[in-house]
Amino acid sequence: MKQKDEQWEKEIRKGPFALSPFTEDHKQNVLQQLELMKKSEEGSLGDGLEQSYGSSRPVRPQVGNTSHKRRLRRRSLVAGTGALVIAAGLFLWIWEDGQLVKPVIEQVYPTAALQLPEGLNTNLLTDKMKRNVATTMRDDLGKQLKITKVEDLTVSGRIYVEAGNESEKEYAQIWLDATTGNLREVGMRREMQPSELEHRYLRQVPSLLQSIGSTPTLKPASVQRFVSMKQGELEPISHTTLALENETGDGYGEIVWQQDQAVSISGDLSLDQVSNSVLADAKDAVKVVFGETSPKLKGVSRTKDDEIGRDVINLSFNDHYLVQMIVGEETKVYSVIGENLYRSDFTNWDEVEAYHQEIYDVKESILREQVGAMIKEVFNVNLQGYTLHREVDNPGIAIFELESPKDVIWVRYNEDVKITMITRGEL
Amino acid sequence: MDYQFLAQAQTIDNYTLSSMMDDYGNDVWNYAYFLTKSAEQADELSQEVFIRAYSGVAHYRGECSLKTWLLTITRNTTFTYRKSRFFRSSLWGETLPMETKRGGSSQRVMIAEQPAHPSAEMEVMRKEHVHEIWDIVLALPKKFREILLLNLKYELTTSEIAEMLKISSGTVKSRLSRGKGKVRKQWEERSE
Repeated sequence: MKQKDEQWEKEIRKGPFALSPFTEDHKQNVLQQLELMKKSEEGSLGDGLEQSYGSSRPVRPQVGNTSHKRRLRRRSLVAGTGALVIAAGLFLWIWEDGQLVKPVIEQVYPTAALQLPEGLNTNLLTDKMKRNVATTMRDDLGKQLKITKVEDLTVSGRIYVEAGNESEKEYAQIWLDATTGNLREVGMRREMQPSELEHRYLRQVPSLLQSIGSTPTLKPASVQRFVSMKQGELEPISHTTLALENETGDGYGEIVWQQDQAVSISGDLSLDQVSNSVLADAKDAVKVVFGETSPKLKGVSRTKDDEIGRDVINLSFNDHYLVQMIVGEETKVYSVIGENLYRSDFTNWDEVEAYHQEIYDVKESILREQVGAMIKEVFNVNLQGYTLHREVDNPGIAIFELESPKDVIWVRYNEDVKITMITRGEL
Repeated sequence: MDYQFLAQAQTIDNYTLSSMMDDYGNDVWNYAYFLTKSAEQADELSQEVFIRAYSGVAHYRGECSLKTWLLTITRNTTFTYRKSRFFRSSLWGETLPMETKRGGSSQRVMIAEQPAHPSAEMEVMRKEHVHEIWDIVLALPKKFREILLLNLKYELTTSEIAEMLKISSGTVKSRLSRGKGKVRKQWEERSE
């Protein structure tokens, strides 16, 4: 019993998370905010209460007939509030990428953060519309972009708001209901530095990579975010894609979040994570299909995609061959893939069409002769019972299908009937 | 870094504050997380704590350790923050999941399971236990959770906890004992 107690107590002493939750970003935010506080204090030295009060008059609420004491208290309160608003404005103005103060101010007064230049049709925007635009950019895009266009779309009964520039990395289009001010459609995108990615995402990275067996030390390299709300949908949905790499640049990973939930995790795995039997089967398949006598495993990667419910493992050999295994809830696909060696020295479209026809016309008997033995050896399947299908739009693909039990084998080949891919399973 | 001089200090320079954040940032963040069970709130609160520590260092008399002082600020800051209904209802959402569901059994066909040898197996088990124990601890009622963590994670004595929480040592001992009992019981049930 004592031993068990000691074990769980040890775990508690280690803390709940693998990596430090208080990051360098947190630290820098604190130091930056303190700098701003110092500047603010220096700037306000010598200013009396009356001056502060005077400067905040425009936002002062009406005061009725109240006692002197009460007035003073209100004046102090107004002065304090005014100073807060001024300080907040100062922070927003000076500290564009602030992490602490700006979000708090934005949370309390979302429209205060709206970048709405003069000269636009701002009179079209009601307070509710402004609030919706500001909160949508804040909560879903993670940044307030400068609004560049406001239009009244009278036919559809909408107000159109555009922010940023379409040709640049940050861009937003928002359609609002002209009557209610509610969001009708949203399309936003943003590319950002890894350092700009919110901590709630970053802190998940090591454990997510570990969850697929990948190395948790991969570093964030780039981030893209797309936000979409189509007509009839209730709220915008964001997709954030984080690309990761190791310090030498030869390791790769990628995580996709829908809202705050990771839906796809990809990453390189170490070679020893592949079981001996799987590796042996994959090597045999490469030998059989491509005649490579000693394929050497060069890389292993995995993608776990919860959105489409698939888990994909890639084994690459000799930098030329790939064995891919896909497992879904009801699917299982095994592919042996080589380089796609189609001819490419065409000078006009007629030559391309003639080439496609040549491939399409390859006799079935030749195809069966070419792949039958391979398929027998790789999958232990006799191709005789399978029916061949070919599609005009995919001239280099032969599909062998068995009705019962349902089974499909795809074969890709070139004009010499050289096999460049064999896949078994529903794609 | 030796922080004893702070007991007489009226201000902190950036270097000292940085060192404090290096030394105690995780403690503060984790404590805020234990109290709120929200990573986002812990992000905000932990930064606020150091700003308050900077502003209020003149009030630090060295009567308790710097860590305990910072934890006290964390506790006060958290409660002030959460007291506001507005902040509670609209600023932050729920705690974010820290990991996705583990893959289905079918993937085992593809990838060798970690326990290829005993040490790897132990490693996997150890990781699972870490998660499990935190599920149990964070599900405890706050009055047990907080004391248990102050004692085990932050290694505060009974009297330090009593002083910090402004309750009697007897209450601390009682809650600590009951908290441990609850965790032990659930831990054993899971381990069976």
